[in-house]
Formats: sequence, structure tokens, C-alpha cells
Amino acid sequence: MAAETGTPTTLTLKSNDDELFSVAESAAILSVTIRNMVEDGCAGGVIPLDNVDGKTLASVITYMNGISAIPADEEKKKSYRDKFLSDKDFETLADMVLAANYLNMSCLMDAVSAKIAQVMEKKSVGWVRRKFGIENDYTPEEEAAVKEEHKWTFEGVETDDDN
Amino acid sequence: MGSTSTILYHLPDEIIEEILSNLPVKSLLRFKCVSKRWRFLISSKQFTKHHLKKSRTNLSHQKLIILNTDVIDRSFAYLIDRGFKSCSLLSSLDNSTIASFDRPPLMNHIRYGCNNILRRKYFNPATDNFDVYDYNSYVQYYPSDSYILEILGSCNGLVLISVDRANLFVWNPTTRRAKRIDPPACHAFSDDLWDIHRGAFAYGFGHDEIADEYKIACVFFTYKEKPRRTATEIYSSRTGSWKKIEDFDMARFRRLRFFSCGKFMHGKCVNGKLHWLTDPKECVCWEIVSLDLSEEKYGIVGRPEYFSNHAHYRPRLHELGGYLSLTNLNENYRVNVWVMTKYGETESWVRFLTTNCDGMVRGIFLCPLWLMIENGDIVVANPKSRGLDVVFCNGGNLLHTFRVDDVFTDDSSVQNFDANIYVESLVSPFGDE
Repeated sequence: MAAETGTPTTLTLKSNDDELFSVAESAAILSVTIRNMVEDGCAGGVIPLDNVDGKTLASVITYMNGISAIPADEEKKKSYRDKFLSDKDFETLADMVLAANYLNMSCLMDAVSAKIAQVMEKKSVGWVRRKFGIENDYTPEEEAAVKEEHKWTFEGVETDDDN
Repeated sequence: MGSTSTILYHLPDEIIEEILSNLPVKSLLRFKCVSKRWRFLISSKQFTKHHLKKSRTNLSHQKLIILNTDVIDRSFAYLIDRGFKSCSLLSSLDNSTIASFDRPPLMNHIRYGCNNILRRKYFNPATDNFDVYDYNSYVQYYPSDSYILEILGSCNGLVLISVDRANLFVWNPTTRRAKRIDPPACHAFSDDLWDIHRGAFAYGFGHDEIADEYKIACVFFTYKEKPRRTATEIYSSRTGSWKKIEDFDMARFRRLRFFSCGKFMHGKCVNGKLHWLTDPKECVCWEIVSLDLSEEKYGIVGRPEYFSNHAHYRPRLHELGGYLSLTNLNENYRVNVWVMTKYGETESWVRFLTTNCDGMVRGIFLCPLWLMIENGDIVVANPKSRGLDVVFCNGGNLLHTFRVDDVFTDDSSVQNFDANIYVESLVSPFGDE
């Protein structure tokens, strides 16, 4: 690796919609998937990331650069993550959780999962079905029975904001 | 957003599970309605464990549970229990003056169920979603609207409670489910459960990690009868029954210290073992006795070196964020909070806190609630003026404090205060469902 020469190595990442991104190797190897490729010597040319689109990859790279600039201080890293995710909408978060999973970045994965959960917490069942694209496979009777079993959990649910 | 939905539909179960494991139980129970697949996932034992593991380190999923008792007849010091109050430890951080309390309605259910059974002689599972089928007539000792509640232990979100001492329930306050537990055989040793001088019972509740089952220990001992008799029985959630185990060695351990300041000291569960103190009155060198829930054998856990060399009063055991903890009063009537940072290693006892006379934490009935071992943050409850000061501190530094009012109705109950923390979990009191 080029650390010996004193100049930071830069990697080129390619999204599935053919956008190219330059990123410092030290930041990129936060992704275990990329780190493995580098260690296997596949990083000479362009690293293709077939499961991540350009918009999401740009966001992930912003995160990689931001978090790797913070020294080993868990509190500061946490507040950076909170701030980084604070303005992301549900769809962006969903794309990021898939990207974090594919890139094998556990810290981002944990943070995005927790953020999605925070958004979901007070939402209705209908909201969750729409956002996750889930088809209701209950019969009306079955659904009423499941609802009846946990009736109290339907108190304090927010009005849907996505219609 | 159609394309996103298409992608999300193919989110693998691992990712869905990862997201859902961050949610509070209330949301999860609601989302069982989303689809059959989600219901299956949320109900699975694997997910319950995953969620529990995450919740253990999440401060907002830690609930302080307080028994709410009223004195209704002061001349006889006659107590009536109104049920339990609970509040999230994190609610304190959101708002420094008001702690939001909600009273888990299940206690109303138990009470309601009991009264109904007395009147109707049957129980309607459709309206009372917990498991009480045979309520005995012991309630004849009391007016129908009063009962004695006790918290006997807490583990993985399940709380062991007794109603009028004889009736045991394993209760998940978060999911609002409770299971009635048949009484142990040793209950029959005592004709009158209220005759404290003849015999008494102490309990402990914990999880046997190896067999992956919940166990209740009931230790019976006589008070005045000579020679003293004792017996230990263990209930297993897997078999649903009690069995007698080899008792602790009376000659070696003397007597367990079950009764202190008018209150039973129930076992504290750490590392798959229950813990009690031996009686310091009979044995100057009191010890920490453990009962391994897997091996079902008694043992000894070393105490801090300090106790051999210093005057100390009122030693008490606690379970603190998964660690074994001791508190004591020192010669200046300040409280020391000790934590065994590596279970089983006597040298690993650390004094985390000593209350400060002119500082923020005062009071001799202080009880530790929660500990973040990584950064040393500790949460303690300090009974004061019929309420509680809940104090967050680190070393000598006060980080945060909040006030919980109307906890005690008379000053005498302050010294009996024992805080219990339970974690919000999906764990079912019925075992596998």
C-alpha cells in the first residue's frame, strides 16, 4: 500500500449508474467490502459497486470522509452520525441501509437502522405498509383479531403524513 | 416512490430485523398487524432475543418500577397497595422536572380479575388477557379492595410479583401479559402464611442461560422454631413445576439475610446466579451467597477487601446494569456504592460512588439504579420528602437530576425503599408461544 510513500492513496468507486467517485483509501476501508477488495489487490483500477446508485454512494462517501476525520471519540462520532442523518427522508434512509449492508459498514448500518426505527415509532400500520411496499395478506377478520389482541398499542399513533 | 417500494419489498429479513430491533415494544406489537411475515418475525424467539440484547444497552428502554402504597388506617398502619408506577430512566433526561408516569394497567387487571373471581367464581379470558384461573379464598382475610403486592425479582423484562404473598405471577409489564405460577410445596409448611415468626419465604428470579429457561427460587426457613428448618425449591419455566434442591449449608453459611428493616431481601440475579447476603447479626463476617440457576448449587462470591478493615453498616446487594453491586453506610453515614466489574473476581470490586455530605447526593437510603460501565455514568435513586431524587452522576460530578413525587405516603416506608429496574422486552411469561 502507498502509505509508505507518504501520499494518501485514492480509490475510484463506481456506482451502478456509472458515476465515478474519488475517495481516500483510509476513509473507504470503513467498508469491509471495499477493504477486502483492496487487500485482495482488486483496487488497482475502478472498484465497481453494483448495488449502490450514484446519489446514495455520494452520501455514503460524505459520511466516510466525515467520520474518518474524527479522532477516536465515540461521543463525537455519535453526534456526527446523528447530525448526518437528521435531514434524511425515509426513502434516502432506506437506500442507505441497503448500501450500508452491501458495503458491510456496521457503524452506519446501526445508525441508519436506529434512525429508521425512530421515524417509524409512532406511525400507523398503513404508513409502514406503504413505505415498505408490503401487501396486507391478512383477511379482514384475521387483521381485526391481531389488532384486538394488542388494542392498547394503537393509542397515540400519529396521523399519516405521506398521503 | 414506486421504485423505492419495489426495492424495499425485497429488503432481506436480516435488515428488517435489524431496523425493528431498535423499536419499543409498543410499536412492535402494533406492527404485528402489518403482514403475516412481520407478525411471524416479531413473534419469533430469535427476534425476541435480538431485541432484548439491544434494549439492555438502551437507556430509554430501562424502566424504574415503584410499588405505590397508601396507608389507609394509620392506627393499625394498615397498608393498601394501589399498584405499580413505572417510568423510563430516559424520560428524566428529556425533562428535568416532570417524570412521566404511567401505571401499567395490568395491575388493575389482576385486581379486577381477583375481585371478579371472588364474585363470579370464574375468569373471562376474553376480557382479562392474563392467566388467572384459580384464585383461592385467602382473600377472606382482607377487605376485597385491598391486597399486598411485592416485587420479588426482575430479569429480561419479566417481573416476578406476589399478590397477598401467596400468589405468584410472572409478569411482563411492557406486553401486559402475566402468568400465574403454582405455589411451591414448601408453602404448605406454614399453615398460616402471615405468621412470620414460624416461617417465611424469600424468592429470587432469573434466567438459566445454559438451559435457556426462567427459574424461580423459593427459600423457606423457620424463624423461631428450633432447630431451624430451611428448604430450597426451584421452579422451571420449561417444566412448569417446582422441585426441591439441596439446601444451603446452614453450618457454613449460617442464616441468609432475608429480612431487613421490615422487608424481605429477594435474590439479585447476575450472571445466571441469584445472590443474597448472610445475616450480619449472627455472623460478623457476612458473606455473599450465590445460587447457580443452572447447576442449582449454592456458592460464595468474594466481597470487597474494604469490609474486613472498615466499620460498615447496612450492607445491601443490588443488581446494577448487569453487574453485582453492594451498598453500605460508612462510619460517617455516607453511602458507598460498590460494583463487581468482573463477575467472580474479588479483586474487581470498585467503589463507584461515595455520597457527599455537602454535595448533591445525600441520604442513607440511596439505591443504585443503572450503570454504564463503559464511561462510568451511574444513576441512583435517593428517597427524600416522600419522593425520589433520581441522580445521574459520574465520579463526583453531578450530570443530571430529576424528581419523582408521591412515591411514599409515610416517612417510615422510605427506609424500605428498594428500586427495581426492568428492561422493555417481548419475552413472554408463558415461554414459547
